[in-house]
Amino acid sequence: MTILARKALMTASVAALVAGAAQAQDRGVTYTNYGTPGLIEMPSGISADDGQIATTLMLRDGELRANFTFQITPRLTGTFRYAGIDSYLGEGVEPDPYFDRSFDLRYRITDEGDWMPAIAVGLQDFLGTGMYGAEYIVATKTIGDSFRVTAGLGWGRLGSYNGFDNPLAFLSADLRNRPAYDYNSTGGQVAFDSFFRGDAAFFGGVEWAPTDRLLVKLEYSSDDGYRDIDGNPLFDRQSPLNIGVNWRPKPGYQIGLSFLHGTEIALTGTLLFNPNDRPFATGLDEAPMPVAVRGADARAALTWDRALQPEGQLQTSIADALAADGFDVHAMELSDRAIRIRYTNTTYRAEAQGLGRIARILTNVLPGSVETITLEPMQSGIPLSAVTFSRTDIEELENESGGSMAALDRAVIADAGPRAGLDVLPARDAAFDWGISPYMQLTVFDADNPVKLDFGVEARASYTISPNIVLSGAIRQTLTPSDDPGSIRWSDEHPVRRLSGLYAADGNPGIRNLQLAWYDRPGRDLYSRVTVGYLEPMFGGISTELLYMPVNTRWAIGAELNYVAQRDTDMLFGFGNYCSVRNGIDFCENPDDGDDIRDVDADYRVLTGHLSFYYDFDNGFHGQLDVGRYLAGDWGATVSVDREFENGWRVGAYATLTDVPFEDFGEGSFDKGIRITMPFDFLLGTPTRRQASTSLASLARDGGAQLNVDGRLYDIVRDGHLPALQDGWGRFWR
Amino acid sequence: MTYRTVSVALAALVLAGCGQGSGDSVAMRVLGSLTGQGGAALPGGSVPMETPGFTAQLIADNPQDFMIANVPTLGLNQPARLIRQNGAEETWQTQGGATLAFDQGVLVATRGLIDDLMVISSAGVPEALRARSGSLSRTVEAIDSLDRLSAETVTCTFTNDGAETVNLGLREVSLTKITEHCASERLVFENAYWLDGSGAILQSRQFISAGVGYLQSNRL
Repeated sequence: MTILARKALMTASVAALVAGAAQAQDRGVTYTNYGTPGLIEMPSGISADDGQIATTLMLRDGELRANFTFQITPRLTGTFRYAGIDSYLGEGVEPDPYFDRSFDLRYRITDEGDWMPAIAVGLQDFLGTGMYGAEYIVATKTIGDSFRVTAGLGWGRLGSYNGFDNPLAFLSADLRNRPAYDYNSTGGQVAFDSFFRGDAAFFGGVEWAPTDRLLVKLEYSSDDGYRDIDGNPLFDRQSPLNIGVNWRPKPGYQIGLSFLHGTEIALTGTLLFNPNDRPFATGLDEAPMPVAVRGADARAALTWDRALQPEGQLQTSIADALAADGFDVHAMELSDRAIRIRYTNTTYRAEAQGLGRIARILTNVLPGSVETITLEPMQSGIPLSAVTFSRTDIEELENESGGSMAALDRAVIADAGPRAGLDVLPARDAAFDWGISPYMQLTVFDADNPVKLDFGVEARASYTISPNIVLSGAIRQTLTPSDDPGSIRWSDEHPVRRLSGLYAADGNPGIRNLQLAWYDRPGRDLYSRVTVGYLEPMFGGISTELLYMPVNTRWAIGAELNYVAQRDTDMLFGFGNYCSVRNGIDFCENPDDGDDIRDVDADYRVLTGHLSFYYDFDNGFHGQLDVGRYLAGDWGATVSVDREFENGWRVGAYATLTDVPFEDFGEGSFDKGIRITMPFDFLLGTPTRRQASTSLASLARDGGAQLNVDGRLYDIVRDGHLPALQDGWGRFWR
Repeated sequence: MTYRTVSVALAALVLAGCGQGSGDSVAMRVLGSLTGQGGAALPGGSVPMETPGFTAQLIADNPQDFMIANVPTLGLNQPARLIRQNGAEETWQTQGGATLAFDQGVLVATRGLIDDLMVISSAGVPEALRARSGSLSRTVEAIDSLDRLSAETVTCTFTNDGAETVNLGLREVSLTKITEHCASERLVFENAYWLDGSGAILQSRQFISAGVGYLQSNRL
């Protein structure tokens, strides 16, 4: 790291001060033991900054809550929670502690004004087993610089202490009673029949900030739901009052200590992060090559002197110059007045930045007569679009106020041109590439092993036959081997992801994938992929995909068809040997009736695939709908919604409903989860296209399981299309 | 200050620059790839761009092609070299690789300084500086954390602060100081320019961004 880079940290802190000054009104947002903005256990009406991600861990004697809260929009807050409670199922009843997932949603109805409080309505644990199930409407008003008052009306757990008849009962008599939760259900379903039903109760509290870093909270709790499954108290609740302090030594974290109900002490820690606050400002990217403006004579020329600059030598010069800035040139079409270049941007996350840097370099190297510059960014060996600039525009707009938007307005963005006319340049990178790196894999939500960390070594290799045909593979050896395949519940479905623990236990070392992938452009606006081999740890076969995605639209349609067979659990070269006996359990034999899956599916093969519809909303949200047949042969659909930040961050959620009955699926009823994608350039400051994705998903089961094939088309293609280019266009001149 | 003293000072600055990310910049790598081919003639209107150099001797022999660039917030204090001239617009590159674009001496953009000045309009500024007074609007563009461009229009007023004796390193000269006070509801900054009798800006302090602060630069 250069001194300049180190200085970036100082700059970042300067920038943070500037940002902090702009957000002074939000300094008082602290988090409850449930991870939501609010008091101690009680919610409040305020929201965090848009995009804020808060991870809160609460620990008290007998209970642990890990909460992930995302400010989805300025008004909408979502929380995912994973909590464990000792003896929840009764003394000595396993699993103990009992772990459970829950989801909250809160919508802030009003903005806080001079007199108007912030008013919010919320659903707590509306999709889990209902252990924390509650609904509320709450108002919060900040008074002066130091005080904040909250008052609310709660139902469910928040209506369980000192409650009264439901004031909403005048709407319907059905609202008087709240149905008891069926603890034998698999959870995961929206509890519509419980919302705002049963007794209601008031709650509220006061926050006082004696200093900028310290907050004192006092609340009156209407929650008397600290009980086990049989209704017995989990602790001695002596008072409805809770008191706590919250310490915020730095903007990025908070520490809280609270005294609950006269008997319990709880400790909380909150880590805060916001994708809207980039630590390295515009980044540590090196300065680009400045534009060279032609003289009048050069601009007027209609041809160039090929004796002085032979075309082949010029092509090599251009490829060298672009390689020096992180672009691999694959092909080029050069004439007296125009140039068309196909290249892969290997360095910059935003293709728009690549366009700007290449255009500037070309003004330095092209003969004066070349006026039209067409750039065709590629990924995975296929051209994504064609962006055409007038060289005169590039010369005129550099360092001009409004030059970025003018460059976009004047550019012509279209589908990539034909192969005809292109001179293919020799590849510069070695065809064979390999690497060895450590890996880490987190598995959560297994009832017997709530958090499991696996790490080891992964070796990867690839051989590029041509830019769009690549042979690749990866093999892993864990350093934390385990014979425990995790808790596996029998269902009538074919065992698919249910066996993932078995593959993890048996497959050491295991071939993660060994495949040949071929990408192509079969027609205008069409993209294709064929992948053959061991496609993922549990399945191998052939995967095909066709994507229709016009350059200038926000939507795309894709079709994927796969024919795959289930691999051996040793994750080597065989298929079909996926049933084995572990810890006395035969994973292919139904313990209830003795049916053996091997009798019908000894060599499991399945035709699976989806029709997909993608839509990039113009408000930072992205939606995807997949409809089709899943790995267990079940039919259904997956809906995904992601909040996408222009700087590359994504936070989203997905859910899959198929014809697998909820009781067959198991706990959670259906597959769902949340996922985050982090761009490395945001975290490191230096330009890179690398990113990391992680998800907090339901325990992998059989229903709603998709093939995990690498390199699906949509995410590869969209970076070069108009919506993504517009998102990144601020970096065109960077 | 003697020539020897200046050379030693510049050498020290050059060496200091070597420790501050003076590896080949993109521009230098690109230029190296071009000049290395031997046949690629560079387009007209450009300053000749041989292999770059920041030796004390080179600076002392060609002071007109160098300036001292200082960004105190970043701890950057390096010589910068003229690498491009497009009409009245010049691009200078610091030894660490950052580039500074000036329009007749008025800073219009920076690159490689982390929180860069993407662009600031300069129309009317040279004229106001020559007139030693005046008022005009300028638009500052920056990239935010989401890669979106934001534009802020500030009203700038120029005042003549009179003559000052300024040490430029190789010479000591009497220059006229002009202060430019710019403000909007969200942004306030104050630039300063030191002009010689011909109106050329030989020293300046000009705003880059809220995160980085100011660039202090002087010709040699």
